[in-house]
Amino acid sequence: MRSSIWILLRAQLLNQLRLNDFKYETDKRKKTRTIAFAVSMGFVAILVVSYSFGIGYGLGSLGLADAIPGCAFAIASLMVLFFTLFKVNGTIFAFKGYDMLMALPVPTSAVITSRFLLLYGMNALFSLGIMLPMGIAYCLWVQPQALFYVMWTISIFVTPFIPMTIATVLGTLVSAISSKSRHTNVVGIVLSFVLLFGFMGASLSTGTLSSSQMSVEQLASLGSTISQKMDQAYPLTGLFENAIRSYDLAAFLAFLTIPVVWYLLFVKIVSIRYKAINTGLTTQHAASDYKLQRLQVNSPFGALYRKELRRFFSSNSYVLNMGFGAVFLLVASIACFIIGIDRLEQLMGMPNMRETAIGVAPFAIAAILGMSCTTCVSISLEGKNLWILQSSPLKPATIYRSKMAVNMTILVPIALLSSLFISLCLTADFLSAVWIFVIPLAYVGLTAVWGIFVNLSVPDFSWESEVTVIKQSMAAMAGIFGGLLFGLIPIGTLLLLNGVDRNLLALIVAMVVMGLTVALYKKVCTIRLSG
Amino acid sequence: MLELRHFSKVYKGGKKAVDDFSLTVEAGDIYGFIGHNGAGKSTTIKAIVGVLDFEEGEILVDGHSVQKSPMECKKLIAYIPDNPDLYDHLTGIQYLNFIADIFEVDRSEREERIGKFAQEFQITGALGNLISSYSHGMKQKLALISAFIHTPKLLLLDEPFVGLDPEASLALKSTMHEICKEGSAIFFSTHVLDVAEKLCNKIAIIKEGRLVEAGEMEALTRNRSLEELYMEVEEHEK
Repeated sequence: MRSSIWILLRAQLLNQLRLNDFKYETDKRKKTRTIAFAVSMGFVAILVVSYSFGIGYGLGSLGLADAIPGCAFAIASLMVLFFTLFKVNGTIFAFKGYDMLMALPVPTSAVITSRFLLLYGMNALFSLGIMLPMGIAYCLWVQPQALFYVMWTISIFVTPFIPMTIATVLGTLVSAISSKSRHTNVVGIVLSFVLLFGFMGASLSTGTLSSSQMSVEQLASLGSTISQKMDQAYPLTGLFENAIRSYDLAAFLAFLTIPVVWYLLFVKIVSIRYKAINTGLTTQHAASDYKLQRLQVNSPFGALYRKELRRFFSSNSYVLNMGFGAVFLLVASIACFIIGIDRLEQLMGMPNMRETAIGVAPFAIAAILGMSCTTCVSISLEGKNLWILQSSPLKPATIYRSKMAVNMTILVPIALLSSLFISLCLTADFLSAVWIFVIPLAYVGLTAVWGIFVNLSVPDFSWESEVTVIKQSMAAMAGIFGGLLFGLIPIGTLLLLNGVDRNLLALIVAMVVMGLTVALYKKVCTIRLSG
Repeated sequence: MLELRHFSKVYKGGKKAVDDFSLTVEAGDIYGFIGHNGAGKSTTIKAIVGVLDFEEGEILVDGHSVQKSPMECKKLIAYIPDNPDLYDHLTGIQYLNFIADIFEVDRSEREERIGKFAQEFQITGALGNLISSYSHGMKQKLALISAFIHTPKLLLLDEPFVGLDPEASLALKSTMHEICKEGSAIFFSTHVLDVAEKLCNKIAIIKEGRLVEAGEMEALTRNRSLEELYMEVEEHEK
């Protein structure tokens, strides 16, 4: 049993992490891409570690070092939960190669364990990246006993268990409910958004502090307030904090036992119903009663555009990862409009925020829109279907244009609506309102072209699961973070160069963005679509 | 209809997949392309349809160079790879309509041809379902119908009989005869020598990237079966 788990896990690791590409790939371009991807992942890891250390150190410098363990545990748990939620379907259930694997002479529990271990491995890295630097920050402020180091190290590897199982149940439920519906994808996407915003709302309402609690007088009790809030949101936090802060071995043992027992029980229960769950998720009744109807005729561009739009909405991962920013922006802008600028200033404790917000708003909207870059993975997502486009009488530019048009179809209405709500909320003057509309629209064009450019530079057609391309590919990272960066640069300029004319800055940025868009567009139209 | 002149393909790393390959396929030909696994069949077909770049030689489709005028060539071609991966998120009819749009087939013609071939391949009822729910054989049928929609002058099929049920195999053979009678040409690879022998008027045998036999079926086989000829060629070339 143990050896079969290891054999299965090893094969999955080789496949997922593309370790063989380093060793056996003869195509230098592909090898360079794999190395570049590894380097970019390393860069992201450094960012996560630095950010986590910054939070820990920041809490310590505010005299809230006692809150660090709870915060580290809660943040790591939340990250694991989000990361696992949309990876369950495709990693543990309904994954490619399921039929082949289940036909092998290995116990079902070995298959499940190997799949869980794969997911656990990735989540343990997440936990390590967050909890280790926060633990170091804690040590710098508290100088704990030797026992702390042992407890903290063990905790890092136990933390992912419970959020992983919760995410598995929720992710499977979403897939199960949506697979029963006629409109599987729409239901799946809506449920996933509800779940995401639900989590965000819940963590905001229980895990954050209102402005009244931020008063200087209450600073001394902030640590315990934070702990209480987090314990309300996730009761295991309290147990963990007790164990770590008071070196309470009994609490620590309880903290270790609960997730491990819970996890083992969960795996046991899942293994009993594993085949049934997989069958339920992967099989649908398909009526074979279609009768030929009048067909709609489109231009080649129209056909590609419709195909691309269907591709986007057919994938939960695609919509959630690339559409989340845009949906979040819309929700946030509506919320700002309803709350009003006066109440917002009050809530954030920034009485003169309006003026700054008017200057920053166009670029902030643009930055969030820039993260919804659907084009940056759209070419890679052709995958094994690439032959269809390659053997068709289509100019590559027509294909790219159809993908850009889809990105713009998604972003333009959201940009316009968000700009409207934000400009109404800020009661902006005419010229400022114009920039609140123009800048995001200019960025939408750049985002669409930038994505194609990035994806043509680092395409990946040999994926097994689309999630790898959407979440982990170099193109996805460059597309999303590039878009974000384009928006953040003018914000930084505006905040750093005090007194700069914001209208002049907006004009310059708009010109630069449009110029860059045209130049990139001309460039991509000349690039061939090769596999 | 199709002319390959001294075509060679070298993969990165220096492996020569096809070496100095010359062949002519005429209108009305059903040309079988046989060879063992890895002999260079798929590489040759992919180069003809423009999926694969090549540096040496020339490939002409109805007089147009594949490299210089790819669009003109592709308009005349229909291609089906050995394992056709189609758009899983589309329904069968959406996929066929998509291909008809790409090849700019007018409404009445596409409706007539889809109706005809869907009926012949017994797939009409399933056209409203997502391709992701199709079996391998159904996907193969759908890919074949999509290849016939725009009345191609040259059909390039890589192992087209794999996964087809007996009725569909029969329908495919009959359709191949029919479209060749109308003046189109078919160049297809296969490992099923019996099918090639009965269906093709010409055959080409490729071994380790080199064309070792090509021409009229009867002239090449004479009193032997295609299987015997193939084994002889394999033995002789060792």
